[in-house]
Amino acid sequence: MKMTLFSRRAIARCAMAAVLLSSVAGLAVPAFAADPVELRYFYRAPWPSSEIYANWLIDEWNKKNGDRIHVTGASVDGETYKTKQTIELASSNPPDVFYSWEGGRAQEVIKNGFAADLTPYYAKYGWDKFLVPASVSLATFGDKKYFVPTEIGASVVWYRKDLYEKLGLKVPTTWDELMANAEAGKKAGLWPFLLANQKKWPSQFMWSAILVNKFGLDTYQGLVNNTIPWTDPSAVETTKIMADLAKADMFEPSFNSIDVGPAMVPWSQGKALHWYQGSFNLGRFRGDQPKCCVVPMDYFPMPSIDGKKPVMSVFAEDTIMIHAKSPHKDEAAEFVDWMISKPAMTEKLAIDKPFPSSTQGDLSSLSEMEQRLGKEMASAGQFTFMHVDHATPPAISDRFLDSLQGVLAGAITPEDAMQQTEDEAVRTRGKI
Amino acid sequence: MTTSPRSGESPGFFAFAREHTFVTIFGILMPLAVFAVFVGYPILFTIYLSLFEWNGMTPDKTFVGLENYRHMIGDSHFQIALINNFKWLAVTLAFPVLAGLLIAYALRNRILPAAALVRTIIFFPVTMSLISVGLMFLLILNPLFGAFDTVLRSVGLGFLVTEWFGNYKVAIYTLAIVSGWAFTGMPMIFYYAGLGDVPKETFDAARIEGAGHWRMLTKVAIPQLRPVTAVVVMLTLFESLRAFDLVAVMTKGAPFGYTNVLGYIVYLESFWNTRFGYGAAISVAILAVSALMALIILKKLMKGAFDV
Repeated sequence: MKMTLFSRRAIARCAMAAVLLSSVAGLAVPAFAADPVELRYFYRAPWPSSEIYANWLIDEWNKKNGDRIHVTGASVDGETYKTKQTIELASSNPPDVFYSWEGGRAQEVIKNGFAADLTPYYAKYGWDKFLVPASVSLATFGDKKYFVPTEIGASVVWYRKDLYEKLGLKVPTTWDELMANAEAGKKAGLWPFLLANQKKWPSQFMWSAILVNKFGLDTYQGLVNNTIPWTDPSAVETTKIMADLAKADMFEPSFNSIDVGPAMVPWSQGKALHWYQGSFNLGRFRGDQPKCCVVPMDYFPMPSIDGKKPVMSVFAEDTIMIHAKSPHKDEAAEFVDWMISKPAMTEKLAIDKPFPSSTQGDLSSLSEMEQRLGKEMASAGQFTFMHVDHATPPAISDRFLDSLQGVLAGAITPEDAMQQTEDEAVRTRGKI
Repeated sequence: MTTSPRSGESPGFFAFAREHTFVTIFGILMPLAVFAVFVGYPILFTIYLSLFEWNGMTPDKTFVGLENYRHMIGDSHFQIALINNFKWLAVTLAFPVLAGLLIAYALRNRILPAAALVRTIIFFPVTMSLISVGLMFLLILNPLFGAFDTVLRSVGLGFLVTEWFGNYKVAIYTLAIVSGWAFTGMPMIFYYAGLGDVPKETFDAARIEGAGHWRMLTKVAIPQLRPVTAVVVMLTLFESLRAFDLVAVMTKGAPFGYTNVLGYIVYLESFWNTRFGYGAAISVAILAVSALMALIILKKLMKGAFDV
């Protein structure tokens, strides 16, 4: 009986001591080993290399900072991202850091209150001091900056150097010279330009370059920024030029049935002379080679038309936003700062593809041509332009792309195409 | 104490429920509840959503009444998509259903050798993801290096070569035929099973009377297969009206929106253009068209097909 009482008392004392100890320990633990801040990073991975690079980015960050700020990534492939983004951003537990497009889509995200104002972080980290000016200009809406570009691209006329040499052609500096080279290529049995327009978006590249170089950047900006209607003579005339090029067999046969990936086959086979496309194709051009490219090729900017000063399209291919509702904006900005740091940008070049948005990125691993293009993009200044599907909301750009493809297929007239685009634009943004 | 209904008189639900509590709960009420939550509620919510303008990003929806439906009626892309669904249906009824019937008949009557192997090969595409099928046919029909054009040219049919996805007059039929290729195994299996239920004596009697395969197929098999045909036609109808995958992976509506189908523009309008209200209105239109078509097929074309 005594023993039992003693045991009970002893057990009770032990239990009390354990409770006291654990509560002291419980109070002490947060002071010495606080849980790290958890950040969610939601990104788009259009290429296998994008996924590899994003994983490297997250792993390296977590190795160095995971005890303080731990990042978890979630990715969606390129095509699906746009549809998933809406759901993710509007959810009750949105990602802290997320990929967003520039232009029209970015505007939608900002308008709906999902994007945090990053202007203070630009000032704090001095991002605009080393980011390519054109990309910073694209990130600026009104007087605020809403995204950080991590990858930039440019659209240029790629040409086959070997075929140019064989035909004795010179790099053109005017539209007429370009057309003369194209005619020479056609006479030699080559396709003057590759278009590969099955997925509709490729033809807009040439369309917007022609419009900007013929009618000026202001006219183009007026169209995509809703101050000039799509039925404007400049838009109709540009569409006519594209239709005339198609009628004159300046593009490959069946161009509306060929996608960009398969078009690499005739490009590599030397069947086409030119290809007006984005620099994001450099990964394809490089193939398995350590340096670009599998065939002898170079580039020149879309040349001057009617004596106007040409403008090269430089656009932000990858852009990063911080969610306005994130409770950890400062930590998220710290992670974004890592994304555009010199080591991260250099690794991006090694794993992913050009071009980093930072002028600090080491381009020396690239071919001479790529380095030249990188420098040209960095010095392009703020006055450049995005293509239609980046610059306008998806509803307008989708109708525009459909209509342009219809014109090239001979299904509708340029006037009807632009009228249809304007009708959709009126529905989306109202009359102007 | 249980009560039994008098003969010829159906018991009321409550009387039935009292007598068969387990069946009532697990066989009727629970399935009904599951149906209401997972089918009924989404349908009602879609109808409700179709009366609003909503971008899916903000909690605020703007009530627009029937505006989405009014716009839909005048929307040329919706009209093209609706017509494309009917073209798709026509091709699917003409090609895989007919092919499935003929193959099943040929297999049952041992006209084709290696029946099990043929059956497996024809049915195999049904098990494939339509995304894989689409990617495969993108390569086969590629105008630069596709095998199909090469085969056509090598057998002297080069004049038939066209832009299978680029020609806006042809592209929707290309997609429907690819879909048909993937779907043929389904009607074949149904018809094969259905033909197995037709009494052998019926065919024997027809054969003794001097009927050839054509007469046996049209005068014996097809009339006996009416219930199977009703099921196959309904499946084909729904398969055609919910077409989406092949368009998404092969053309994305190109060229010039001429391969858009209703399912794809619901996706496009809702998730791409962030017009969830309009997307919901088109979904309601798909539901209405499906229900109407099913009603017509069951009440008119297949009247009495399921009568025992």
